[in-house]
Amino acid sequence: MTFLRQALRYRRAQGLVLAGISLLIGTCAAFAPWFARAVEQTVTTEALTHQWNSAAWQLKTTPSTAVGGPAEETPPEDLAQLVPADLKPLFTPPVYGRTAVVIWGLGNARPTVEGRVVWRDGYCAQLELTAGRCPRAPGEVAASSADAKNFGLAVGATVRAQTASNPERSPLRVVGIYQADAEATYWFGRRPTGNSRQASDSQPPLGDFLLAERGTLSAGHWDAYSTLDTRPQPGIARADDLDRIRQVTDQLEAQIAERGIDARNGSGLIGVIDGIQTERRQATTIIPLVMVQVALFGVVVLALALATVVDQRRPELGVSRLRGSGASSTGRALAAELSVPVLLGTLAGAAAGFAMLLAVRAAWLGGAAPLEVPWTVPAAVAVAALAGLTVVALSVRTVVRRPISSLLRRIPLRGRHRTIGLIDLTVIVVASAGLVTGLTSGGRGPLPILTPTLLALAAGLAFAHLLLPAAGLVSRYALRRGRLGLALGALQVARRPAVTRLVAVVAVATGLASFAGQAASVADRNRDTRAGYETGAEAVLAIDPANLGVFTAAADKVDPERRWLTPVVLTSPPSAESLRAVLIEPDSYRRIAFRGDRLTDAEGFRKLQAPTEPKPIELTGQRLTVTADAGAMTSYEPPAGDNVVPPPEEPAKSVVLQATVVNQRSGGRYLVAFPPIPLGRGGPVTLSTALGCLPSCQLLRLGVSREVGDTAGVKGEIAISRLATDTQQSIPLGRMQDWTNGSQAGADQGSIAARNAPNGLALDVTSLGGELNVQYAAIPTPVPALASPDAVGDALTVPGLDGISIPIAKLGNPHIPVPRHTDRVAVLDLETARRVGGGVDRASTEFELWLNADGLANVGKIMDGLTAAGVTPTLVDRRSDRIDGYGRSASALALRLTPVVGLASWALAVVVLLLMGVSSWRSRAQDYASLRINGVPASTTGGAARWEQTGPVALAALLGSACGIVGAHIALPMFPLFAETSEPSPIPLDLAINWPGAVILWLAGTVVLTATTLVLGTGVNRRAGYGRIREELS
Amino acid sequence: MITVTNLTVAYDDLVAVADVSLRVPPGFVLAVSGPSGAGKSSLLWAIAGAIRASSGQVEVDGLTISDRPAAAAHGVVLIPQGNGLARVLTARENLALPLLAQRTDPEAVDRHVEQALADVGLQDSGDHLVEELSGGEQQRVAVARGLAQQGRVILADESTSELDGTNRERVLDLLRREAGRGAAVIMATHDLNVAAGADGHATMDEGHLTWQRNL
Amino acid sequence: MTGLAISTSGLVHIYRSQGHDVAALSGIGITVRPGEFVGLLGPSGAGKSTLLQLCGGLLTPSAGRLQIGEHNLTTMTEPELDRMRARDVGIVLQGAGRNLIPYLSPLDNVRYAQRAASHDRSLPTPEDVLELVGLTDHARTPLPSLTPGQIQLCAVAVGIATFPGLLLADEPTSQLDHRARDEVLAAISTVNSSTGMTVLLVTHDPEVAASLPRTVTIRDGRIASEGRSGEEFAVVATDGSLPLPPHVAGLLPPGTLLRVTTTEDGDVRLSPVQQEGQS
Repeated sequence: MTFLRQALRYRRAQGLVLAGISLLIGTCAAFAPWFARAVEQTVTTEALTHQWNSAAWQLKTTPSTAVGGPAEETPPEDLAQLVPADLKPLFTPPVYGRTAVVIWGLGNARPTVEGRVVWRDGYCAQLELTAGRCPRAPGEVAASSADAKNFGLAVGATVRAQTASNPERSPLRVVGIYQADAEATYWFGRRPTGNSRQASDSQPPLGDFLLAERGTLSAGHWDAYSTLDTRPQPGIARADDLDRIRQVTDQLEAQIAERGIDARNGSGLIGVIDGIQTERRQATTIIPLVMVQVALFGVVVLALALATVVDQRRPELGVSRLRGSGASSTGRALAAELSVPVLLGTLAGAAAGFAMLLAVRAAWLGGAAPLEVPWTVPAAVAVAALAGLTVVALSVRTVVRRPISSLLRRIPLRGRHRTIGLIDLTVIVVASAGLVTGLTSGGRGPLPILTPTLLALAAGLAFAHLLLPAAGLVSRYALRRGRLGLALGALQVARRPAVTRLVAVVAVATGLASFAGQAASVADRNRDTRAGYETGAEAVLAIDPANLGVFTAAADKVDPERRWLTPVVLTSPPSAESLRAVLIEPDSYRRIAFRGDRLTDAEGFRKLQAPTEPKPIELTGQRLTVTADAGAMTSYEPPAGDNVVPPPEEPAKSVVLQATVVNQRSGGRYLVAFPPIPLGRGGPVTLSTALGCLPSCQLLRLGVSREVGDTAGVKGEIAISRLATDTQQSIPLGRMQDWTNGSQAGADQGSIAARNAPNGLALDVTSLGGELNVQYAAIPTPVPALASPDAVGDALTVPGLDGISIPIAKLGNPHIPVPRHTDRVAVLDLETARRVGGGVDRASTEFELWLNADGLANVGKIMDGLTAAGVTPTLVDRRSDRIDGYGRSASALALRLTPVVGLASWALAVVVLLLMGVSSWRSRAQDYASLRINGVPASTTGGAARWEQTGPVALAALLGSACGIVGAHIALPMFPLFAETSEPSPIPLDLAINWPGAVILWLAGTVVLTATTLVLGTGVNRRAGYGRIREELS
Repeated sequence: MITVTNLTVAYDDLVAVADVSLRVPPGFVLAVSGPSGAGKSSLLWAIAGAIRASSGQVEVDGLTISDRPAAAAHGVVLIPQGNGLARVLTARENLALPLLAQRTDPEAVDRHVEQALADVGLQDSGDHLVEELSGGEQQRVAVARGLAQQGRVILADESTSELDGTNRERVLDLLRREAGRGAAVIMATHDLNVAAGADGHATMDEGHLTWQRNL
Repeated sequence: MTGLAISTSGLVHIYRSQGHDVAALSGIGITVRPGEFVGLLGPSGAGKSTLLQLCGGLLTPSAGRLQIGEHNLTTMTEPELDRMRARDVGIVLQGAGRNLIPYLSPLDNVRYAQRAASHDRSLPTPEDVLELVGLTDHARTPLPSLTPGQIQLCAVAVGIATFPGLLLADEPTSQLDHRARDEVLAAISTVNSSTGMTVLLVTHDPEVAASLPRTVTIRDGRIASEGRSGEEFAVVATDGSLPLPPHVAGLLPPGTLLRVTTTEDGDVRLSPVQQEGQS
């Protein structure tokens, strides 16, 4: 017969404490695998959602060029067989398509526009028709509004299209004009619009999709190919499906070959899946490890609690043994009684873990993960319950086995000083060993996460044992100074070994909290920073203007004072290895770009900026006239090398004066050459040539070249006394300092320098046949630039606006990674590039407007203004979006647990404090009563009661917080703050300790814990009434 | 001089001390005997100010006793039954701390402490923790604690119950010496031999005091 | 149910304290007949409680013989001792509360005490046990509501819960007022007379001792004297030694040579011999 119910009811508070601790353990045990699983699912869904394009299967057959044969050699339906039956429900319904690459022209004009005729299953629903209707019959097409504008298409017009292999022109009637969202997932990245442009210098006209019915392409000879687009559906394809999907994708080529289909799959799905799997591994390692530490801490606290509880029951155990119950049956009864709250608490913890999962799933995961019960959850809960029951059994066993007489004593024998020291020593050694292993294991794997706990444990225990003699010293000092409260408190610390446990627990708790705070804030900071660097500013608008002038005019119209935006232009060279140029407006860039002011120092910005002196030389008009005197020129023989006999040459005939000008409206750069000046005749001559400088140009270079075939050496001065246009009488050319000397590549090819002349400028030339120019110093050459560290070499060049290389002079490296365009870039002043001129090569030039926070707040207004100014902006990037994206990675989600860890640690430490207070208060109160009845004032004993725990706890909190920070400093570099990418990010991590946060956490923890000890101490003192000394002790 | 007038001490329904009056002049030793539960301890605690009297009054050398701190400061020393020592402290610390609380001269305190320990024969056990001492030694430490305070009133509650013959005689001699110094001493004991050696003997039974032999 | 006899000879118990051995009992030899009601007296620290604990099997004798009924306590294992305590020997510890489970009523406490012997069909009912000590009216009253005397009666009740052959009671009346003390003694007396249970009771109260039919006084670990209904007698120990009563011991200091003569009426005369150098 048991009296279990009465027993549980009698000690309800104890039962609640045990249940509470078990609840915490159970919650950790249930929540960790659940959350890890939810994160796995979330990461899967997020990747499949955001990388939908890479994750897609884009199957494409080879167009058949054979004449005759079936209309659709391989219809898309055949491609659909490549999706296995078990994967079909996981993939989106496949989008079939047929595409033909054509050249078309309007009406009877010669076809010049490169475009495509496309059918896609269900395309009509994706279109917004601004005129007409969707095609219904073969031969009908819908054209994009951009095409309509660029090429003059209208409803009813007929275009004639021909394919590469078939010169026969098939007529297609335009029945509708459409607009489409080219970014919609329906199109799978095969953009129907955005391609249309008229012919330019370098490119033929391009057209958007001409959308047609399927029948259009089946009749006639189109060389059409089939397409099939499908992708795993986020939210339906789950984490467990990934392996199978990857396998099928991997084997797709083999499958295609097996079926004898001539097709290819363009898909990045394997890369996407590999990325997901890496993140999943991160989640399943980091999250359990973080929670396991809290759970283990909880188990330790449970053991302490049970030790206290069982110790309080010693008299009852004694009674039970006294009445003849053996040790085992007594122990069984007690274990049963204690197991009830532990088991109930653990199970309640499982439920609490589920509740926590629901809350977290809604708050952090956006409800993306399905509600499922992975097998790891009940397994973990079972392990937690088993651990709890084992602790109960062990705690009961150690006490119940004692002889009855010791059970009946009120105070347990104190002979265990040495064994306690041994256990502590073992723990210190084990913890240190674990620490060293974790640090030297190369930082891979999960052990870095345990570093702070192990460090705090080892340091806490070591400190605790140093504390005992130190307290003895403090008490002696205090006694001598008459500070009795402090002396008594310190004496109690020195004489009660239980304080070592308390100090260790507080150190670990504050260490965990401190580390958690650091990890969270450092990760947060790095996410914000990386997002900032990768975006460039708060938001980025992409513009597609015709030329630079239009671009800057639009920006000036919308925000002349640059309160909101800064223009940034990126030019890319054809080779992927060469430097790109980032052209900025330094003043506004400093204010608006992310950390733009740190790009370089004030001196660097000054050097970067386009020179204000000398003032540009403006030319206006249609004819350019020069008065020059080349009479001083003589023959020149370059020094010959050894063994080289200079070939006999005809004497030099003439020199050709030339000027390079940049048109201010179009930006184009032109070379204007004068008629040749014959040599040998002295005296100034006046020459004139055509100039297309309306409304105006700026003079970039003056130079000298030769007529074809005239390569004899010539040297001397050409004095230019007047330069004029048909609208300008005389154009001042400045002085020689205003011109940069030039030479051809290779010093032995000639040189040219500007010289001051009495009435103008003179060119001191040594010409060997090539072109020689001096450049006006308003446009420095080489252009000063900040080059990213990966730009190596001496003679660096970047592409100008027209794609032609400009030499740059390296000012140094930027002090920060260049925002947004970080690799292989040189930063130049946009104004300098504008002065260099050149027609914009739109294929290799990107125009962006970067917005700050104010700008983003007014983005609607800005975009409307830009559209009104004639450019079409698109919002392509937002820093907050990137931050959110990083926030959804596995490591970020795992780190969100850190506040939970911190709070749980503090709670456990408070529980331990309360426990130790509860178990030791009676003997402490008796001691205080004994002193008080002999005249020691209650204020002194109160001070002692408060000092006894507050002092060690405050010191332990400081030590633990310091260990947490040191642990963070050591462990964070090994901690994956971001998902692994194929190449390391150029943006460095900022792992500096967040000192304000650390101090706040330390203070908060100390306040919470010392408030508890102060209250407990005051409580003990209050209970130290005189009558307490009459209570029996043994 | 201890003057107790119509003292009654009651805990809820139980009357521990019933209308007791007595007077102990300085230099005299009064023994109060009686069975356990007779009220001896309550009488002594009331005189010491450690419990509140329900009615009546206790006066010591002009001070009406109302609370323990004032009484202790006034020189009323209580040696409780069961010793009432602080278990976390050594014998020496048990003696020294109350003295340090009242006086601040550490050297004088040290002298008194050493003297008191020597008086009870524990001069070598000063640095032992209380729990390392036997029951008899603990009782002698409690007595030494009382002696060291050099009070004007000594209230010894069953202070010889754990001692063997020699030490019992020693303690009684010390109490006699205190009386000789001018203190008023009341001993509560159930040992009639001890009571026989006092200047006066009263018995208590269920709260009532009966004089056997007047002072 | 018959009471158990206690028989010891040369019983020694030594324990270790502060690095040296202390002999609590140095050769106790007593015999208690079944059903006897014996009180153990003596100053504190003399060894009364030690002897009681030895009889209960809570301590192991260091030397000597200790027999309770059929049980030879010097050779029994721990499970055998448990069984003995479950059925044959009841112990009432000093301090009534230490014998009781604080959250159970007196009736449940008796039941709890019967747990280990619950398979035995000859157990008395808990109600019977309470009736014997006079607690029937308070069988279900929670313990905090009972008077100290009633709590002590309850402690006695759990001690006799299985109607053991031997009841060992350590100072059952020490904290009680006269009335309660008398009540408890009467209850124990009733138990002894109505069940025939042997009772060994430790006390330091001379009034209690006076009311017991037989007392054994232990001083300094040895039997000093025995009493019968209030009158003290010197007793010859099992080893033949004779401890002197205190008032005589003062007259005959250690080392005194005595001429032992017997008289016609069976008295023994001890005549100290004057030695050289003594007055």
